[in-house]
Amino acid sequence: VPTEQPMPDLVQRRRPWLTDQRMAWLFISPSVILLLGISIFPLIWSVYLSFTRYKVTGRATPVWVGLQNFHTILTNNDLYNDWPIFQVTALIVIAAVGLEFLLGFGLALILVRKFPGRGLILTLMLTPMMLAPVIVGLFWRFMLDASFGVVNYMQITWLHLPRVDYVNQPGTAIASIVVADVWMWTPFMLLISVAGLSAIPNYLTEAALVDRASAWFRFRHITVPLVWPLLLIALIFRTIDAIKLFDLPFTLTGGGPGESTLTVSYLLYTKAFNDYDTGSSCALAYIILIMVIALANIYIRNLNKVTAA
Amino acid sequence: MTSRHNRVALSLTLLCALIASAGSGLHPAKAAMRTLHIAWFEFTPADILNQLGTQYGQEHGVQIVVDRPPLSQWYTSVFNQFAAHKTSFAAAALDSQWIGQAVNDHDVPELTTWLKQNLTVTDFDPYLFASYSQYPQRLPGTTGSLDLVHGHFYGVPWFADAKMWVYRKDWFADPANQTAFKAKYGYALGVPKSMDQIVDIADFFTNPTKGTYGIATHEQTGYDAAAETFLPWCWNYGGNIWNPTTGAVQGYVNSDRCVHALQLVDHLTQKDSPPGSGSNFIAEVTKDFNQGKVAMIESWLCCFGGGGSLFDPKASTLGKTAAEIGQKVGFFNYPGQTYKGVTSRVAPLGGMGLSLSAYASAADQKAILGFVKWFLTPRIQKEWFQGGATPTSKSILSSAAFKGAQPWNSLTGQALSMTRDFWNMPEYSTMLKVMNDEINASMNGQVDAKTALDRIARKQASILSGSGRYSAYK
Repeated sequence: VPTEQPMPDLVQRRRPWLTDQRMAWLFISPSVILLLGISIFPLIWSVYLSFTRYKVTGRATPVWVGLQNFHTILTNNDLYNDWPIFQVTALIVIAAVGLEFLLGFGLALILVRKFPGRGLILTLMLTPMMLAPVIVGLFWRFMLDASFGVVNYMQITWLHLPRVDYVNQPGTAIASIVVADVWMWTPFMLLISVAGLSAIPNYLTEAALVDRASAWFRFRHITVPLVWPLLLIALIFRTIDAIKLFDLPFTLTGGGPGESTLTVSYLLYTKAFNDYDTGSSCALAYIILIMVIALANIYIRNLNKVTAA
Repeated sequence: MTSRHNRVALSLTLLCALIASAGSGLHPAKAAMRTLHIAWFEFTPADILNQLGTQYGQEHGVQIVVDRPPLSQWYTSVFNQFAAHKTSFAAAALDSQWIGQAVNDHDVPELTTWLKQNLTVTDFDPYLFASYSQYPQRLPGTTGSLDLVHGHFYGVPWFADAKMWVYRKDWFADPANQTAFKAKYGYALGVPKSMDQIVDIADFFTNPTKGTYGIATHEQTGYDAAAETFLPWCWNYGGNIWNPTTGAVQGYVNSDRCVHALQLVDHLTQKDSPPGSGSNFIAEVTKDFNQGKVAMIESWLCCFGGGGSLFDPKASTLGKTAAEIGQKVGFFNYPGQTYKGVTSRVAPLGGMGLSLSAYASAADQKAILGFVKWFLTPRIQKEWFQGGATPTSKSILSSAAFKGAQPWNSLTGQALSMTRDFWNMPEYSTMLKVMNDEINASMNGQVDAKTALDRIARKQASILSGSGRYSAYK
């Protein structure tokens, strides 16, 4: 009876220490080291700095102050009355994202239908979101200029309205930022909405038509439920982006008049790169991060509910 | 020969040609040229300095390149590099207020010994020398002026500047305007003799239906624009922004004198300035003047010359040649004011010193100091002021050659002799941001003058007490 012998390795390993698992680690180690060096470590370091009094320009080492930086930002203080800045940011986010959603979805309902020149119109309408925000800010600053801007020219010449110094009055300055942001990012909402609307199966609409469902019924019970998950994702992106809005106020209004269009990101820039108050700016950055995560979570919960349904 | 051989031969030929062309492109002198950078910002004097840096390279084999970011990014472009403790520049032209922060953070090395050994320090204008170079500027037992015996110096007095007024000579000389003005205000229309008269003249020339306005001045929230418009009005009405001895702000910047001064500024910016003036800085007021919209502008004399400025026919509607424009453009210094028994005549100080980067190598620092010595020779200083820049040497400022070099130069010496600067301490940037934002809000009618100045006082007092630096000023 032949005895069973163990099978010899068909291929002799040249480097027996280089196991599959070790090789896998070897391959991913550059990415891990890079991630630790440029992302994880700065993140942990900035968490530590947010609890310290520290100026990056100085030679002094960080001094632990506990929650003092957070307390100063979240309560009224003599230097920065931060609460109105949060309010201005919220106002801009709600107005801009709301208008972008309504306009983008509305335009998508028109542009989802096939007609001659649709492709060209869609391409042209997407152009603003391809521009750099700084360019958009400067572009609108010239357009809205009280002295030579085309907007004032049109309203005086054609509509016989008085001249308005849009970027230098508190109310109109905020509106100017909203208008510029809406102009730039409505195409993003439009693009996502068109993609969502195009993906709705025709047979659902056709079945509803056979059942003589009204246009409103089809919109309410077919279009909206099927597009909503995609729209929610677009809203998450736009809300996060709008909370971080910096470029437009920086170039369009300079945060003024006074501090009336200072957004939280602009305040963060001022604390970090004008005052070089590194500890306080790190604390503010984490407050903004927590706000963004909280808002994103609300959206994501809603999204999960919708997709589950 | 096979096709394989052909390909190999062709490849070798191309490789040889590439090596030969690369070799011929390397000019021996150019390859050996050392290049050092000076940080400044985009304006005419920096362009002239860059040209002089090229000339220095041709003469001495060390090319000096001037980095010129936009004015609004100048501060962050310098101090972000200082914060990284590594700079792309070997030296930086630092605005006079920055010296406290730069010295305190050890970003610039002390130059006291080098200055005394290599330059005629008594030839610099003493106030400019102290402002651009000395820190702390108020030494114990002194009055805040230059102290060549005990003082510590960190910069070379490099470029002098002050604010001045530009006016429409032709509008002022117009007989119809002369008669109407005399009838309305009871005195002759001419170069104003007081700050109050500036307000009258601005009111007189403001006629929105004709598209003409009395004044254009800096109002922007960027850098020091709005603050540096308020400061000369505050000082000329006998006010002050703080007490440098005690560090107190309350009761100074929001005093009755400063409130009155800011109310006048608000009147000028809201009633007598062209629409949209809330965003004005140097380029915008120059544009308003060049387009014939305003009777007067208040600006830095560093920006009167050069391309795109007052005498550039391509940028101005006032004439087809510089000479024709010159017939319509006049200059005057701050006339001062007597207010509630106090007479003051002050102009805000601009200008910069040149400081070395503490992070540059010793060899680069030495090379830059060689350039400084060459730059401060009379031959190069002459080229410097003929291009439109302003030297800091007393003898040059008082020379006939300098006074005749530019239309405003005859008034420059007087302007510099009555300059005043604001805080030079490390907290300057935060203090300035607060003042700039609040003054801008007041200028645009968002808040009244008293509220804006009260807010400034409260915020600046908070900055000073938070810094723990009060004791250093006692």
